[in-house]
Amino acid sequence: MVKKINNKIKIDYENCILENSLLQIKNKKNVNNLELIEAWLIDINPIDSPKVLGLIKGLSTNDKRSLLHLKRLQRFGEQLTVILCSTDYLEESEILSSLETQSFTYNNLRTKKVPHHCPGTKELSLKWSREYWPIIWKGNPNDQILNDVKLDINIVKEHLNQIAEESNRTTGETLPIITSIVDPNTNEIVAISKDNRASHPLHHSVMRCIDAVSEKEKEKKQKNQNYDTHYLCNGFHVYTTHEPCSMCSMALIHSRISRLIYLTASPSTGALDPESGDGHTIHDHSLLNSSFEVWKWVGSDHYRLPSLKEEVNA
Amino acid sequence: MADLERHKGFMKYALKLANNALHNNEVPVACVFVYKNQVISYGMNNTNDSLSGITHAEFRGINIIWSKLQSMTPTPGIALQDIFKEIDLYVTVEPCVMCASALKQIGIRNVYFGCGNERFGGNGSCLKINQDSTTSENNYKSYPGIYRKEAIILLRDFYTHENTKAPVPKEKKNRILKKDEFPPLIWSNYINEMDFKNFFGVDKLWAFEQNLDLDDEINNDILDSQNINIDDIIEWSNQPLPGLNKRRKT
Repeated sequence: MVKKINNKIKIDYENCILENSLLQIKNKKNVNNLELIEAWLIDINPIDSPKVLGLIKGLSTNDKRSLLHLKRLQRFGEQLTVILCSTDYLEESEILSSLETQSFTYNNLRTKKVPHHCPGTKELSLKWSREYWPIIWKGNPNDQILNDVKLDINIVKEHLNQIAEESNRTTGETLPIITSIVDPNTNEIVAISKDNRASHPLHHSVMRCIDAVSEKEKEKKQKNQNYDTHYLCNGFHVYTTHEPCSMCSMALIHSRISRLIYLTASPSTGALDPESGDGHTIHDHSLLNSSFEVWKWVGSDHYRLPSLKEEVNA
Repeated sequence: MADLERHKGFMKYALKLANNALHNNEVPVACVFVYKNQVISYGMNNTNDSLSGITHAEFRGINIIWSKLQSMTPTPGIALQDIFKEIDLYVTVEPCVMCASALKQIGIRNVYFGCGNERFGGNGSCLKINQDSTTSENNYKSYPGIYRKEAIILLRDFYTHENTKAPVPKEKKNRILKKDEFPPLIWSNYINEMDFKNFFGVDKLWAFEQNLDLDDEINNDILDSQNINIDDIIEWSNQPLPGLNKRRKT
């Protein structure tokens, strides 16, 4: 985590734009809607709090529900009440067995509903704290999300340049939709794919690109049985010319990518921007099981793309 | 509504495929596609073996149909893809958002499924892709609840074992397979009362109103570990589409 003041990336917190070029696409509706998740609570003796904090540290590395926005300890009379982890992460038998191995005593293991995230305003934060469980207010949480983004704008431009060029090279029946999947650790392109729906209606560029990544992994595995395959597209970055349709957006959720950057919105068929299509924001939807970052290019370098009919599912 | 037994018959094939997938260490989700009252294609989830998160049953089924279509003589004036307007899908679990969208883009007629998919269902559990305004000329109806308990039991059986492919495998030693408790079936997430009545019959409306299953009994024959032979389904999938001519080689 970088302190805001030390961050070298230029961040426009108000408009959610990085380096004057990348607009954050997110579900703007849900930040101030209260969502509750269930967490495990215990009561402890204050003297044991260092030990308990050690246990919490271990638990929170694997707990997919981040509880960092909550105060972990709350004093009630002689005792401290502590949040351990979410009930989604550990079932009762599992939390019991991890408590068994600890060298502190505790009472009253129970569940409690707590706010899933920090709201966007201080007033709401105070209200939820009173009604459910104390929230740590450090300003609008999206500011922290923006501040934590790791980004090299020149590398982004290189990848965008490449897909834009490929898009302009498409001919005939091929739609000018191009997608590349990049490993952010090496900045190497793992796969780059064109749209091919002329030969199969579902061969959109995103789908083909995901297929190409798994084909590559299978080949490597065939050559070397000891090869440790990469889990799906876990952590990869995706660059695509057009905002993807609902099929492709969900395919990217299934593939566990961490970031998508696109050049052009698909106002009728897109499934990411709240203003596009049905406003599904599939990458940032509380009911779906996973999420990824999405950025739309709004920079001054203009990537010209061939035209595409609005009704096309990109 | 008199057709319910026919729909259940097709769903039994999908469950047999799912049972087969379970015994091959894949997520037990499977489907058959039906055209002119015949099974013409099938699919099983294959995400573990294929190292890809998107090789869902529906896609594999669509691909079989698509390659059959490639070898057919096109009827003048009718696009190959139009044939999907007469094809129905029977799938053990509600299609995910990706598959729901794929089925819409390809123009499926109707979808029948067993249990909902609360983590990423696209026919009503999380999103209602089949009824949204994108490509709405292809909107389709989706009917839940056909052998729902059997579909759930197969999934539970799988998830009592560990998914060792996940980056942080979750230990599931203490999990046992429950066969007597089921969550309520919230029909209205998937279809409205009118569609329910038209399809299942007004005499079944109690199920819709009380969020109950159509059947109390569990069909254990379907779940039997012997019930995994899928040779007949594979054979039907190898046949050309009924009523269409095979393209002459020139």
